[in-house]
Amino acid sequence: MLGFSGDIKGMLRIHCPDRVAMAITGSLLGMEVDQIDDDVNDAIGEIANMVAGGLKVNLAKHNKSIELSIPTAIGGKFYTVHSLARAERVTIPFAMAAGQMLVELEFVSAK
Amino acid sequence: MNWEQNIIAATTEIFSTMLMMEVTPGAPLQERNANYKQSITGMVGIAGLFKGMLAIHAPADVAMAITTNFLGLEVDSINADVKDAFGELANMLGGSIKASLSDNSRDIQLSIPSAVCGEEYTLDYQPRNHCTTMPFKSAEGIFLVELQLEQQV
Amino acid sequence: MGKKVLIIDDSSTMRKIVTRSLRQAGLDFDIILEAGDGVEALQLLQTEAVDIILSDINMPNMDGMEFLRQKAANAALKRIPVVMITTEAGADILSEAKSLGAAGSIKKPFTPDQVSEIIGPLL
Repeated sequence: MLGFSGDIKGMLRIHCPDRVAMAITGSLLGMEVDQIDDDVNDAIGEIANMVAGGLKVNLAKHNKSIELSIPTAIGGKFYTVHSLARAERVTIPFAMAAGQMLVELEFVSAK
Repeated sequence: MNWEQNIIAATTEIFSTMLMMEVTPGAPLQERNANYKQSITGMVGIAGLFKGMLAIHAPADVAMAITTNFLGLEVDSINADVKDAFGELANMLGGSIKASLSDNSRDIQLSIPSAVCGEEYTLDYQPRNHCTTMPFKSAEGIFLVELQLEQQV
Repeated sequence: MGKKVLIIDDSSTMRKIVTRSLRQAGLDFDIILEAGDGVEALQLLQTEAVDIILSDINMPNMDGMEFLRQKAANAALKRIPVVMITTEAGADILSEAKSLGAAGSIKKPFTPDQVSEIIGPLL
């Protein structure tokens, strides 16, 4: 996940099961990945960074400027992510060979 | 910039005013803690002249005690109130750090906060340097405040 | 004495924190009303008469500044004091709030004593 702020503030999150995260990392780094390690955390963080970067470029075309924070990777067997504020939320599932990935955007207009 | 002092100033101020809890800073962690069990983490992104993330981590029992002081409500599980309280705490700590970094409120901005909790989870930031984690002791137990920040050129 | 307060903040957590602080400050309001933004607040104020309003600045739909503007333009609401509660303590923002009719401001983090000091005299 990665926070952003500016004309719009919010959080961008990429959610996926371990095996999808490993498949994405394998493709990104061009190597076999069979465990959740620093590489996987960095790769999924980097995907969040790139998606948010794309969002930043697209928003700029609509005269909205945002700045990005740094990515944080969260992993584990059992956890929940909770967001506060009365943010608007869009979640889009993407299917790939290894399984499903969700891209979640949560935002409020700053002004 | 002395991040440890910034974290101590922000945390002790917020806990002594908004929660009326006395908290004592310990020595900064030499190595960042990545694994959390039965815990909750409130976090907020920092963007602009500095970019990074501020997080507050607490075991479930400490988190419930903090929430009771913060919201004035009894809580006996990690419910929505505790999650909201930790997001709000991260937001306030981030706001205080932000104010200490720049007088111009537009230079550095915060994202919206969020909270992560669970039986077992890991948190990893990237890049892994520029990270300061301070433990704080309260009557109810120990919690951590972590700041990951890099200055933009 | 049946005093009524309206708390405007998009965070329900913040509304709980303010409620708790008012209680600890010894300010015993009989009725505490809550609104999530300026629009909700103005709607509520059509039917509810309150003694004081505590408002956040940054909110979706209608922020605290626009709320001050609309409230000032409404003869029925004009004289209700509004205290801004904010972390954005920039002098520019606070002086703008003042020029729009805000009676005072409370900067987060705050203690119950500070709340009582600022709100007490306005009641």
